[in-house]
Amino acid sequence: MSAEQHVERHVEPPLIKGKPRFADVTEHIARVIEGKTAKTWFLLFGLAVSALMLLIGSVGYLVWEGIGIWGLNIPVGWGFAIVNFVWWVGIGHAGTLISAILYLFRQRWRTSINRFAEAMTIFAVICALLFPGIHVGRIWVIYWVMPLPNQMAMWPNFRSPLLWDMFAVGTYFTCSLLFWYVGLIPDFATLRDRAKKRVKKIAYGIFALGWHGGNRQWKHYELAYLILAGISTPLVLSVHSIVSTDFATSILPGWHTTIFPPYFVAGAIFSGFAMVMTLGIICRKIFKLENYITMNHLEKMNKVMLLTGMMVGYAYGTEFFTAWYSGNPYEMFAFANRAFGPYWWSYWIMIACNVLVPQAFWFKKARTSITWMFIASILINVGMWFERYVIVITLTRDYLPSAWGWYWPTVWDWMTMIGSFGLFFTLFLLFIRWLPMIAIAEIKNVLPQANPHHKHKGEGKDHAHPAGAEAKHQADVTGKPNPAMGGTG
Amino acid sequence: MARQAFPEWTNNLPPILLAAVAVVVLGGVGFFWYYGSPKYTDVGYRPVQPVDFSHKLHAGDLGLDCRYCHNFIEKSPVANVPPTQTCMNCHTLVLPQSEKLLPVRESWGTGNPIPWVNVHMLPQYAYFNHAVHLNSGIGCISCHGNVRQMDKVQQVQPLSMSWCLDCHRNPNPNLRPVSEITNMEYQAPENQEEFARQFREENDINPNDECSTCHR
Amino acid sequence: MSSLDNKHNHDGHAEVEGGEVARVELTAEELAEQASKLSGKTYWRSLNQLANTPEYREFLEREFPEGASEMKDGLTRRTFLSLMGASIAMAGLAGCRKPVEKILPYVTAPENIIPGVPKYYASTMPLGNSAYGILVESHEGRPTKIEGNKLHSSSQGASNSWIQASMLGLYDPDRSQSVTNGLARSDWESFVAGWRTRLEEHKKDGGAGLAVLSEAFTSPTMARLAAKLRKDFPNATWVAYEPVSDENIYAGIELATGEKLQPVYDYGKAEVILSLDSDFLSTESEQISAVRGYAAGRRLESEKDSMNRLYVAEGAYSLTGSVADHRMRVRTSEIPAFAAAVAAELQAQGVNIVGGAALSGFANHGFDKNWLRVVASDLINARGNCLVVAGYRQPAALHALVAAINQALGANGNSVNYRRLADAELSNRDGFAALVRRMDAGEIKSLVMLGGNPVYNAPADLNFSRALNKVEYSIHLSLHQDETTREAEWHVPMAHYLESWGDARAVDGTLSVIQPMIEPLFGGKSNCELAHFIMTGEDVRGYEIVRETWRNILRSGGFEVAWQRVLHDGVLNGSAEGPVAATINGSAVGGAIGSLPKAVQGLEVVFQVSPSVYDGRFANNGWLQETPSPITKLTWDNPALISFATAREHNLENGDLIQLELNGRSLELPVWVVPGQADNMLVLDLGYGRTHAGRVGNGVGFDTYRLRTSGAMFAAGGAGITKLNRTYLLASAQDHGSMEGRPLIREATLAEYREDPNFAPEMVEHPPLKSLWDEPDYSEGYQWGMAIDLTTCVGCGACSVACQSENNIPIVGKQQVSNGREMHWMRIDRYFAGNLDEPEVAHQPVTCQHCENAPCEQVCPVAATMHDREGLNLMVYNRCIGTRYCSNNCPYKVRRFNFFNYTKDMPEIIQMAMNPDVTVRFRGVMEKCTFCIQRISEAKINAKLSDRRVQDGEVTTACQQACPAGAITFGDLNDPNSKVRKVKEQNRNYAMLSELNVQPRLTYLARIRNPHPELMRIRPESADHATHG
Repeated sequence: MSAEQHVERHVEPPLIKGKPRFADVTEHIARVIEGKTAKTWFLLFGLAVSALMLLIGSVGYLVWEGIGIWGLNIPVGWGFAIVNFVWWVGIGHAGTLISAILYLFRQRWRTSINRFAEAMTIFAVICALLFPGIHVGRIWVIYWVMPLPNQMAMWPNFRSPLLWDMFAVGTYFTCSLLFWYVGLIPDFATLRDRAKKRVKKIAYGIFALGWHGGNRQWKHYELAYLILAGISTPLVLSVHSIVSTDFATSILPGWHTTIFPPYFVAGAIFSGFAMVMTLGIICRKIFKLENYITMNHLEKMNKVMLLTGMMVGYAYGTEFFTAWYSGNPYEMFAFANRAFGPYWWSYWIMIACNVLVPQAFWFKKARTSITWMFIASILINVGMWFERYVIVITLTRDYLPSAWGWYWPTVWDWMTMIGSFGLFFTLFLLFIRWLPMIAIAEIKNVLPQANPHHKHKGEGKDHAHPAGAEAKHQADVTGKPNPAMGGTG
Repeated sequence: MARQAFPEWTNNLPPILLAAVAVVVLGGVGFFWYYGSPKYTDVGYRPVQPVDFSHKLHAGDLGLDCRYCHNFIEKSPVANVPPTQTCMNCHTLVLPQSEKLLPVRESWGTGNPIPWVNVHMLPQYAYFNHAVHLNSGIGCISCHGNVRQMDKVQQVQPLSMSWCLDCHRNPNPNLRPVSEITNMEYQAPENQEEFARQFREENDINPNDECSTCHR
Repeated sequence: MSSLDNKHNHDGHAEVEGGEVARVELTAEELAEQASKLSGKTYWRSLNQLANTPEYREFLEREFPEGASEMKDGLTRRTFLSLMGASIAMAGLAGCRKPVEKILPYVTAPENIIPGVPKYYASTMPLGNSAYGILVESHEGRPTKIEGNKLHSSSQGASNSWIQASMLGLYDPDRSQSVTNGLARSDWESFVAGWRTRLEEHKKDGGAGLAVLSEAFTSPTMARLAAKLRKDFPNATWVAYEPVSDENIYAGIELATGEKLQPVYDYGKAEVILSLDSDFLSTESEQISAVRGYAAGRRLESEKDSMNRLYVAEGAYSLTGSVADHRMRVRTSEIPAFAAAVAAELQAQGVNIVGGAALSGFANHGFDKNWLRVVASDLINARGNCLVVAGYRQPAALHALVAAINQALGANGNSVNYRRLADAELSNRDGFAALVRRMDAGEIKSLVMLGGNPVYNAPADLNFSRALNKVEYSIHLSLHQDETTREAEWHVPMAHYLESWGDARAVDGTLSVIQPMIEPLFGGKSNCELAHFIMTGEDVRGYEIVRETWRNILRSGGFEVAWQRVLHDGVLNGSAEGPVAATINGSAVGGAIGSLPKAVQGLEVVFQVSPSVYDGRFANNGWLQETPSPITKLTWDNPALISFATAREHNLENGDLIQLELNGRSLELPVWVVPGQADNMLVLDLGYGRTHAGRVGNGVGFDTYRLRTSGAMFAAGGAGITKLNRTYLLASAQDHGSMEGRPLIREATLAEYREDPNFAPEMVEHPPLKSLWDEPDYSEGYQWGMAIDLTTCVGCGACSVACQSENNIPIVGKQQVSNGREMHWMRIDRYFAGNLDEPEVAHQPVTCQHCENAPCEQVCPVAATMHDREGLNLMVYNRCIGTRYCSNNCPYKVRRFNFFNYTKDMPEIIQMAMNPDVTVRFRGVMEKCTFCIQRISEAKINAKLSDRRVQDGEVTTACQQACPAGAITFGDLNDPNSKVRKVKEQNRNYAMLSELNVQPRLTYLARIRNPHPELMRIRPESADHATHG
């Protein structure tokens, strides 16, 4: 009955369904890790690892034989490698956006999805970083892009966007990793305390950094988390802006345009959310987490996708307008060529997936249909991949018609791309097997019980207690000591 | 607390680990800084030559001028290694029976060159021109060291790109009158800077650090 | 041979500077052994560094297995090609520490060779009846680069792709390396023994059963030997055969004048030129002097100058047709009728052509009357300063008529002269056919083939190989163990012309010597050495044979002195012979006109020499195979060229395979559409489809000789084609032929130019340009710049091959070219404009433009491409990590990337063709034109050593030096008197894509055409791209 009042007071539907107790939360999420490994997991993991082998194989051959095994040529100096790089970096963005920006905006619904969204970010960025690494002609001297002292007395060229990339993506990766890890500490502790085997205890224990959930720890923890969120927030915007300069600072028609940074960021978030959606839907199904990742969450994400999708669509329109308005024949040709040239199909796939598909989310029916949103999320990711493809393909026809060419990927291009998915899913599957894919401690924060008002009505206590305190209280109420609370308090 | 998985002392681990990491990182940097530099890897290279030829004896004690054997250094980009003929000019008369000179006589007889081992090696993509350096008043000693005192020739300078650049950016300390280029005992004047300035003006010597100066 | 035992025999060479006597000749053993010594990493500073290695033979066996196997495409194929592409792995990049590097000095210092300083020697490259004077750059006795010899009338300091590429031919590892008997390895001694006994037999009956089959030549020594044979063996036969030659031209002129005469054209003197199916700028003989003259008559310094006008009537779209002011599509076999129509029109306009009465029958015809009227009047207006030329494909009768026309127009003695043929053995198809018949009849006991490859290129109907097998004793002298070698009993490896002694006479009579740059790498014999041996049984060195000839030539004064002079200059000064007054015999011409062949019926097939591999003799030369054909831009193939309309009629597209039937013979090959080619006609390049050319040439293209019969050597009718529903991969170096209305090549007619002299720079309007970076100051020191005149450039591509030779550019093979990975630093862009049936063509050489605001430099993360203070855009290979960002950001797309290690597994012998002053690039690095920075550095250092500034003209880039049109100028822009500065100050000067503010150092002079006002067509597209902004 307290719950009803709860509902009355909040316009929002409850973020977590099924009115779980704190203990249940821990139980529900931790059992995924502690329980017996599901057959499906092994199946998926097998697939992922074999794809990963594909990657290792193709990259090995690449280093041995040379970049020539790819479909690259003059004029098309960049192909799948850069397309995949940009795409993967884009995927990463949703994670940071959800965990950092939504956190700062006090979007409490983020808690159910931020953990694996962040994980996804990190794994995506790892995949992304792979490509610039392997796409150079002489991988063994790639460290020359770093400003290290050397007998040549040479600095790298700080004017080059590729250099900016290295710094931007590097920073992004480091911050995301820290942010993710800090968020994990309390849960590590939980797992440590629930662990039956000594090995597990120690393993989790090391990462828990001796967390015991005392108030001072909570205080520091919250602060650290806040600071990291603050640091990560600008990165969400900066990283893809800088990646976009790889193209924007060039003089190529179709690349040389100021709209790229915002449009890349929007696109990145767009594709990122789509990926979160894809993964989220699968996980909540397999691990029966419908109560934690509720329709409410999914719908909110769909709205975000609708928004960013519109932004991207707007950008496409603007590009054409600018090209026409510039009166620059090369620009005009470049865009006309995108839509009606030999690679028209890639352009229209992009439009269909990125602009048309999300329009369905105007309707609640679509926003709340699992099947539809699953399909849509995948289509959007395809579309966003093609967006980058279209950009790179612009290389085939630039200033001098005599130098125009073609680009057709080879089997090695495909293998490397599929392989990168292998890498991603291998990491992701390991993650959901060994780490809580939903932030246990944070979820508790958004439970009704965590709200100081929901029990002691009338006592004008406005400030929120640390979840720990609440949890203790809860533990007393329920009478029996809750092992789950051990470390987390 | 009994439930604690870790003994007390582990509390000190983090700072220890931190320190360890710092040591390793700095150590690594230091290691490469020293052992990775051409100063370490290249300087002192002294291969065994097919003929036990002593520059100390010939150029030092006997006082032969470098150009007696390396006779094209002022005309050619490459400092030529003398033909066997040059050795035989003297050694048909001097020590004609010496054991040490066996390979030389053999070469002279068979017509097969003596396989000298290259001491000062530049990579193929670095184009160094002896003639222009010598004619600009850079002495042999600046790059090859005091060969007159070497029994076996060895590399004394790193010959690294930064080393080249140092001189190309400020050649003054190394400049000397063109007449003195082969003189190993040459003493720089007190007013070397002054001399250099004047010398460069007269001979229009402005080395530059363009890539194209050495790389083609 | 003598030089085996003594290392430096003074054979009395003389080199260009100073002309001192005596230089080292390196022996075959030395060189090859040295080569085998080379490791991929180390490069020798002095050739003798390489000496002193064991087992030359074994090395050869290992490196070049007998009958080098053909290999499948893909990596292996590419590896082999790289091997022919000539370059070495670059040391530092391999990056391992302290490879022990040996220095092998000379044992005895050769006189006047300074290690590290190249020398230049004069020689001559013979090709058919032509001879081109050359200068060969030699590094410590190792020839690395060929330039034209300014003193020689046929090269005049310039060169063509064949001359340039012959450098690679010298080091071709597939060259034959031993005497063989029935394909089994044998040796010279046993051959000598064998022949001496036979020779006795032949002496008995005056050589009744003895026949010598040689290639056509113009050489005092060979002529002397031929004469000697005819004298010593009155019953013997000496016949010359060339699959493609000027035979018809000589025959025609003989027909008209009754004398054996050599025509000498001076295109520079012709204000109006009419070409009747003559590709005199590219595939006809003497094209270098032709281009020189043509360009001279066309060069403009301002709108006030005048220029020549070129009319071309032809079937195939030739390079000459592509630069014509007016081009008329006429099927090759219709040309005689067309020529007659021209003559008739001339007569109608009052020109009196001797024997012209017979022309009346040709007065009414289907050709464009207006066109003919204008051409005729134009020729008449330029009376005396005009020229009519016809191609080697056309029948003798036509050439007789042309001679008459030229005389009637007063061209004789001015733009065309005749010289009495001397020292020449002309190709003789009938004589050859007769010989083959006698062979077939078993009358020939011994056949000596001095060069040539008749089994491959003899007319198909003669069935030469069957005849050859009936000859009991046949000897074949050739560079490769080719198709003919397979059928001959004995094979003697031939010495490359750069390895052998010889001499030649240029078309204008100028005498020149062929002197070896190096001892035969594989111990070959020159044709004069073998010829001499064949008839005397004495094994004498070419040097002696040639000197013997020249003793009679250099009678006046001391022989040795004069001889040294000749060796030094490469030519005998003043040996050019004056013209003879040719009298045209009216009745003969009349008869000729009467016998002008009618056009063939039905679908016509036309044969032509390939602009790349000539008649097939250069098939194993990777540089030439990969040189894009000027009009089609195809590499590595010879599809049947077909006009747009005809293709549509048979519903064919590029790459479709067809079955081509020609009087009983058939061939399966792909088609390629050439807009502007005459309809109802197929053009086939000769020289492809070789089976025993070598690892590069085997199985490339299609053997069109199989369709060629002695009845129809150049044009045959009644062909049938059936479309097979299969396609074939053709590797074109340029996929897109239209300029898309972009102001890249800016052109105008002379009239338009005079109206608006500044049209070119003003063609593009753009807002004021401002650079993001502060721009460096280029007002001090040398500032290198280049200008290319699109008016004189004919697009022959000699520059491109010269660049390849100078800069160690690898070849990549058909597969890679079709992937868009060709490596040429200098490419010739070819654009079509106008309608698909009669388009105009424009050529534009494009190389790195050395932008002052180079977009490539800004984006390289490791600063591997930088600018120096002399305005050069540098590419530092050893710093490059290969992101390819620079190439993406290059608006001209002139950068080239080493996608694979194209120089991997290259036999060391090829490395001898390398230019030691240019770094060889490794896998994964970007490369591009450097404005021949190695030449700039050399000049600057030489200037510094002699304490002066670099003079204008002291630095010539490889492309500039090769260009026969003199279209390329290069020099210091800060020098107000430099040629390039003057050129750039002309009002036609414009920078391509200048609106991007990249400020290229390479600018173009707008292309000016000189159409006749009465024949002006509205050219929609070209008009478009001429006014686009």
